[in-house]
Amino acid sequence: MTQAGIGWRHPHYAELLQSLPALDFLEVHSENFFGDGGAALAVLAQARTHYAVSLHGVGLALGSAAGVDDAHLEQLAQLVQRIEPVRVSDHACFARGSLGGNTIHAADLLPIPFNDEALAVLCANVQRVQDRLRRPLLVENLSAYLGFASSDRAEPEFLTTLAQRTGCQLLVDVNNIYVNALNARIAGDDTDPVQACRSWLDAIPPGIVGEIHVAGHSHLKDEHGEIVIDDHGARVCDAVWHIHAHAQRRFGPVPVLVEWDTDVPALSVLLQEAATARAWT
Amino acid sequence: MTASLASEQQALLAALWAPAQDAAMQSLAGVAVPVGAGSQAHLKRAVMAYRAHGRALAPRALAAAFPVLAQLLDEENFGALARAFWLAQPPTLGDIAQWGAGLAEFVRHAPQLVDEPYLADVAQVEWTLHRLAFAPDAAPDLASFSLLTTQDPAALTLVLSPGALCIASPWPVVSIINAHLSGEPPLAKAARLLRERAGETALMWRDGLRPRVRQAATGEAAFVAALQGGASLLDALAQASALDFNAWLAPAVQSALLLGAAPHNNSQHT
Repeated sequence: MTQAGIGWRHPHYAELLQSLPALDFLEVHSENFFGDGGAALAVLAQARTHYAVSLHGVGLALGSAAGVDDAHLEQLAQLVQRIEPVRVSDHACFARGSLGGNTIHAADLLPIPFNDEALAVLCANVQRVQDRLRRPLLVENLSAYLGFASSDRAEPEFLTTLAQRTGCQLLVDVNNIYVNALNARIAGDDTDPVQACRSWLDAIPPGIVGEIHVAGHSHLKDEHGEIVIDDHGARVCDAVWHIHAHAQRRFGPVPVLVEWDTDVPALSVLLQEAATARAWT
Repeated sequence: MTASLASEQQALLAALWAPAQDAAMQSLAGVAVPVGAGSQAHLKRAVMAYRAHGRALAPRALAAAFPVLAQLLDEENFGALARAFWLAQPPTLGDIAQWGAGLAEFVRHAPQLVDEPYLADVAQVEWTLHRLAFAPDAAPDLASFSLLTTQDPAALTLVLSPGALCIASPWPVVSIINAHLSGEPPLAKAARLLRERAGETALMWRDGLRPRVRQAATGEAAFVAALQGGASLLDALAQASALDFNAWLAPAVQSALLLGAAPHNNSQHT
């Protein structure tokens, strides 16, 4: 049976620890628990006594040419040692780079080109993290609103090579694939978005996918144009559930996580979504 | 660092931090492309989406660290301040909760806030409280207090809550913050103290898992600074002659400001 978990966010800290609902794992954003001590870490340690915990990072910036921040990696290593997570993951993105002569962090998941140079940087950074953590990392595909002229291959091929070279696993976010397909259609592509997602998944070999994410998204249309935003602020739509089912058939059973980060609903809604995730597999 | 990837990433960052949308698009020319078969209009819309993320994240992140400043400024003004700070001093670390150390000085020099000179000190105290939430955990060692009766003060030091710190202000920062966070003192009293320009020294520490702030007692700031600087109890008392140590001791233990006593290994007092 497929394992299902939820993204555990601050509004549900107390309620979940009181009610201890049946979940296969919790996933938290690693950076929210950085630090030497304090209430957040204490709450996570308490949760860890009841649940497997997956640490999902948003700040390593693994695709940054500027490299991974030493201090960030040390804080993550400290957290991994304390929590003993079931999985550790982050994104195939960049965020660190030079602005006005200073190295900044964009606090966002910014896209990278799919070419040899970006692959070499990503592999080196992933390898460095894995060496420090002494465990494989899971790397997630992005929802990307733009691309780079220097890209010379498709994203599945790029990510597959990353996994083969570093031994990392992939965290496949099927909502991200769908958001990208929807935005491509808005931009004029005539491929059916669901079929585009199936083709994307079919280009990833079985055996390298360690987790799947599902989430909601929103359509934004204003005087500046139309775009689909990956805001994790709604229920998972039927199309994403269908794509998830396709992914489970190809890769599964793979643990699936329901992410919800904007306008976080009642815990009961997240638990319903987790139950749905199991039912669709 | 690889040159071309670095330059692509630099171009996107420059676009996201450009003061205007047109300047942003110029930064990206020749590097970024729209998704699918999109046009330049789609690329422009994409850049707007990324810029919107930063504009939304900035006030949300800072409000978590500066809840009183956010209340004092109201949503619109705090949002404008946060977005200006985002552009002027972008995050440098991957943990957004660690962004904001420079906000107090930014506020102090913000022309639009020149009529609210107390806000910078409020921000400085709030940032200290925010970071205390991530300080090391420390449990009291009550048995160690027996050293106070058996050892010479020159050979002892006191162990305070990690990160305990005092900040002196010419404004009633403690009253303002506690009035907004706990209602004690009432807002009306904090407002009166502000009109009277009643200066306060804030003492911040962790009581268990909870960061706390109260007004420092007479001599307490010097005492805390001396102890945190590694002084012996005898030297700390000498530097804080106005402190009523006997009156200070029990409440300090009860509130977890004082965690224990320990031998002072590096005493230079003779």
